[in-house]
Amino acid sequence: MSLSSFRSDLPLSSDESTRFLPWIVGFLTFVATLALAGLIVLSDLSRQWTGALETALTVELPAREREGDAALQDRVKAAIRVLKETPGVVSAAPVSDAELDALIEPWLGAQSSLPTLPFPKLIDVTLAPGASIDLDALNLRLAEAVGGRADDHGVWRARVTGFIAVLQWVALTVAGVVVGAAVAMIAFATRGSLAAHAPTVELLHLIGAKDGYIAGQFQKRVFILALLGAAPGALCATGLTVLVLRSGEMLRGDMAALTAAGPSAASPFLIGALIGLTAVAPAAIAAVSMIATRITVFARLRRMD
Amino acid sequence: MIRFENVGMRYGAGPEVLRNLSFELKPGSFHFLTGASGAGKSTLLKLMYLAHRPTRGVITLFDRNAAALDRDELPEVRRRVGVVFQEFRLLDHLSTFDNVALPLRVNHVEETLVKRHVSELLNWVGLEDQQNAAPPTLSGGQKQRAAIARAVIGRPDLLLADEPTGNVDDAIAVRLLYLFEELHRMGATVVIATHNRSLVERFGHPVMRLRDGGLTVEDRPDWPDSETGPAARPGTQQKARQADAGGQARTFRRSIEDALGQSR
Repeated sequence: MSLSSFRSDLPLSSDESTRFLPWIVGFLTFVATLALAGLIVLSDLSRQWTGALETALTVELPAREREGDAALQDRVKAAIRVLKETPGVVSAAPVSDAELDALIEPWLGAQSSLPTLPFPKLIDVTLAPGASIDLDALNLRLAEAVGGRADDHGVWRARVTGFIAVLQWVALTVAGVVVGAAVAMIAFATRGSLAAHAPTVELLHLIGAKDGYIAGQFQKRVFILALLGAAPGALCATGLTVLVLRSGEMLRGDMAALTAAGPSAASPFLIGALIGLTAVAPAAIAAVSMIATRITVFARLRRMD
Repeated sequence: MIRFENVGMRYGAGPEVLRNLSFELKPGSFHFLTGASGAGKSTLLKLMYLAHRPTRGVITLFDRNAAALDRDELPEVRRRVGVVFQEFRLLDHLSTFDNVALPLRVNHVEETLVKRHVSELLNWVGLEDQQNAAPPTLSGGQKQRAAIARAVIGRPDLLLADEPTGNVDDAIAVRLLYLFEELHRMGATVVIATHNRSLVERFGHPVMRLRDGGLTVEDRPDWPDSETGPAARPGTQQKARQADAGGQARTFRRSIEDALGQSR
């Protein structure tokens, strides 16, 4: 693009109505990008949680009164046999008492309660990726064989993904409202600018300029100003997101555990998505600003004549 | 070229400034437009260059009913009309060069052609040293010539000028009129609104006279004293300068044809 294509017939560079446009667009882009970055983090969280549980089942053998340890072990072995005969099951292993203690520790304290309370025996089942298990048929066989039942965590997964979906919609709505505010602000600024330059616009019309030519002058200016504001705004928002994620890891002091259990700044999906967002958000905001300017100029020019 | 049929014009709820105007300008004609101050000369020109719409009547421009032109067609028609505005209407933030280049740029003429034609035309109107100057730094006469250059750079079919000699001395006024005559000889239809009696008499073109909202067209003007402009009849020295200006205009005719030839 030659330098002359940035020449403007309108004195827009001295325009008071667009003077603070980069700052305002920058702030709005910061908020919108922050909301979208939150959406990406939630998506990553949802992907990790549901992904891990999609290939997992937990079989529960309820404790029976006066059942000895040997009888319980027999029931566990019988359940594992049923599970291994089920197509799609890769492995099935009982949860040890130590693991069970760790699971209930947050609620019942560090001292083991297993000997005194009738806790069910749990079996972790790993499924082949993409395997489709007939849960009802499996439950029937487990109930008949050992009085147990399998849980595919569907209810929990549905609640978690439902909650995350709500948060994602909230984030999208925030981003949408912010972009709407940016569009409204740009429309007002453009209207002010057009009013300020009405005599020049009239002259351009009289010498044969089309509306598109005049709109182009405003578009170019607003695109550049919006980009100047949006780029640092988006960069600050994604930077802050990464900082918050990293701070979370440091507070927990266990990066490996966090990486396995939740979102992390080290997640390749997350890093890729945040880099993409930083690149796309300013361009999108600048493009939306340009379109808003074009529509506003066309609408106002029709009224001015 | 342009035809008015029972055209009337009023501003808002005010009285009619122009009443029942009916006339036709043939292609290649040259007219002076005269009338007392407030007679409606500028209004009539604005109707001709489609800045205003009449309150009644029909204006036909280049065989097109102006009222029937839709928004997308207006620019094409306006590009065929060159206008020298009374207050020049040069854009102060642009250089003289960019001001003159405007009609070509809005018509998306290639930039190399813009540079060549504008430079040649500025040279022809004597503003070659002022190409980069901002209009506020130009004298009245220089602004006038820049405004005229802008009006003719697109080689219009219809050239309208509102008091183009109002801010210049007689010698420059005559030179500018020779410029208009050259453009007229190149095929443009010209209408010049002026108070300058001596110019009208000297060049002897038909006169459109506005009086009491009506219009009469006279082949040779019978000039009423009430409309006498500020210019006196030229003295001996002035006559010599004017003759020289006429000679210059003819000499440069070829130049302007070259300058304007590929602008459209």
